[in-house]
Amino acid sequence: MFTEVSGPAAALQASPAVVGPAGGRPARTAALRRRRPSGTWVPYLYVLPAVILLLLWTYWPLVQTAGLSFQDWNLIPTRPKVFVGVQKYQKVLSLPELHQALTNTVAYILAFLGISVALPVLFALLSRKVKGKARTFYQALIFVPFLVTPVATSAVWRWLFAPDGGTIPAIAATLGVPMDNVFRDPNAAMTSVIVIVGWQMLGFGVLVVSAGLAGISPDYAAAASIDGANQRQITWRIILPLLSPSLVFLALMTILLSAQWTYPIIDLVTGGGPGNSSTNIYYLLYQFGFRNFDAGLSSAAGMLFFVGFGIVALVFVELSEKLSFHDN
Amino acid sequence: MGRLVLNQLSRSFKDVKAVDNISLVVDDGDFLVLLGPSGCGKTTLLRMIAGLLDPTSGTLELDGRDITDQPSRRRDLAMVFQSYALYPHLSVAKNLAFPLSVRNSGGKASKAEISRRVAEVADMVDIGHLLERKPKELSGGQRQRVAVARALVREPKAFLMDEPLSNLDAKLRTATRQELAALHRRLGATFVYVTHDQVEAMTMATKIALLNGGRLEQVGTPDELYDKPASVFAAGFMGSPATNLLDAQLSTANGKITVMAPDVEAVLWEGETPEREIVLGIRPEHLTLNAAGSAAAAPSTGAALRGTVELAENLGREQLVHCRVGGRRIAVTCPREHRWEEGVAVVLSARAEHLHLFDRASGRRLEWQSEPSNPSAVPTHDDGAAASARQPTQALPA
Repeated sequence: MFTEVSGPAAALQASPAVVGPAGGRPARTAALRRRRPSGTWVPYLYVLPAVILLLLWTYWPLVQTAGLSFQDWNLIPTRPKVFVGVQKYQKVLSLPELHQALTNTVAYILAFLGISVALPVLFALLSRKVKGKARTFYQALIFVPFLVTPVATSAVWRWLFAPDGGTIPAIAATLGVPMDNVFRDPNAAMTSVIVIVGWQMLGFGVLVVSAGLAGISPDYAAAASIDGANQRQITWRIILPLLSPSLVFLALMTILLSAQWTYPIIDLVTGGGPGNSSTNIYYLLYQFGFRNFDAGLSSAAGMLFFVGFGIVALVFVELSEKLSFHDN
Repeated sequence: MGRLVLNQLSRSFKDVKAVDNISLVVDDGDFLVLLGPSGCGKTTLLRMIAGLLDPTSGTLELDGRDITDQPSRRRDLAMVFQSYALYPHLSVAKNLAFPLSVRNSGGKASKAEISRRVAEVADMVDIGHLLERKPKELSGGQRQRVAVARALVREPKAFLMDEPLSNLDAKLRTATRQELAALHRRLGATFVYVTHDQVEAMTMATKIALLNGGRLEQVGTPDELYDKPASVFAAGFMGSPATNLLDAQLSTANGKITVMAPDVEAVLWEGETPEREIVLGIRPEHLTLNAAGSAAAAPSTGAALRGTVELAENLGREQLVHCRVGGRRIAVTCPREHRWEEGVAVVLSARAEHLHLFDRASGRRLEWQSEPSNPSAVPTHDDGAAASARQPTQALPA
């Protein structure tokens, strides 16, 4: 006679003394249920400090700014804040200074996209040809300006550009190009700011691009070269597409931060002038608020830029999601 | 066509010689497996063949043409990487088309022709339904197939493979192994395949090159490597469980060649030899286990090892019994019918033709020659690769 061999689970149920996977389950769920109440709030406790700081220093000022943008107030604590509706928004949009600052900001961003995205790709790809410790040295050399404070940077570049004995005008003179005070020249002031800020931002770009390149497995280039690709094809068809998530990140950082990075240089070197030729939106905000003491106008302009940059950031985040390959 | 000749190829990294003076011929249609433990230089050797690494010295020939200084893109080889190196931003179809499209800058092949070829190889390895997917949307096995298909698409002179099965699970590995061997038979192309897995080497190779510490230990067919290991290393590396190796003395007694070691006695055949320090190798499956003092008739030749059982492992198909013989541990595989208890005194015996003798100083195989007039060395392998072995097998002086 045949008797069927029973499966392990059935065997366990047959003998109540044995507590196996089947019998043990209720006990474990009970343990989990017991632990859950204490577990619910602990994770929130961990993020609480960050949330408090964000609320205190970012979101609360944002709400205050939004509130101020509907009020007329001259920053004197004893003076009352008068509600004026969207009047400040209407005014700020009609100001020619804002249009000038906006155009300048776009021009700055385009220039910095070239300097801190395109140039770093070139530099990083070229510095890969340098082997060993020399490469680290070159990259450090390019990165160091990023660590110099804007005030020191401004001082050094003011000397370099000084019309009486500055290095750059002196070199230009020997080449037969007369150079006046560039910071007072409406056609050159903005370019000089771009050169100074670009010099600082280049290092950041090279750092990000080098990190991106280091993250790309050398197997891809090796595979492509065995597949018959030449160096140019490998760069354009393999390396650059794989680098694109880093480039999108860098472009986003450039767009969002260039206005901030430019601000101290503008303030220290040109003061936004001559006229408004080298100003940008951040400098304009500062002027509205702390030179003209019009908190409402400054806040309204600030809110408009917040929304504008927010939309740009959303587009880029979406783009970088699309471009991420999950390289394994 | 695809005949590769490696001529005294070496590669050093700083002071370390990763590949040391390797000469090897891979004939057209060969499936050569570069086999060896981690760090033996097999991948370095493959990368030099691929052109990804410059040799420190030596030359490489493909079909009679010196390709030592050719960049990899001009070598007309294809490679499957251990990581597969599928371009993550391209679909499977575009991955497969890449080798064709980058060589097509002159526009010789039409788009239709490329996509026809892509469809053809995709069918060949059964990935036709995956063409529109990105590599991240594929399983490990599917990625492996795409990597093989990308190598096939161009019909290169030779295929190079760097441990292509190491990222697959055991079952898939066995199936893919058989498929790769079938693919090789169908294409009749030259394959150079790197692995540390002796099963892959034994099952797929037409020729195995066993490497150790950057040097060639032995080159030969799988049968030759298994049946006539040319060195102590080869004997120890090939086979699982590993060959039993024990130090012994070779001498002559009563006109017969004998091998002596503590608790070990072997009588080989009639002949004479000066005394010599050797290593005796016996594969576990060539030993027979008997209880000490049992009535088994002792043959006139062969080896007898006296010891005690230490441990018996049930492997399912058979059992692996570990015995202590003269202070050494000896493994024996035998049927499971008899249960061997720990501490039982046993006699292990092996036939004379199953004993492998190696010189203890050089580690090379000793081969008996009945013809006393020719005491010179006789290589264990007679194909073109023979010259590559570090030292020819040493002949026993008769």
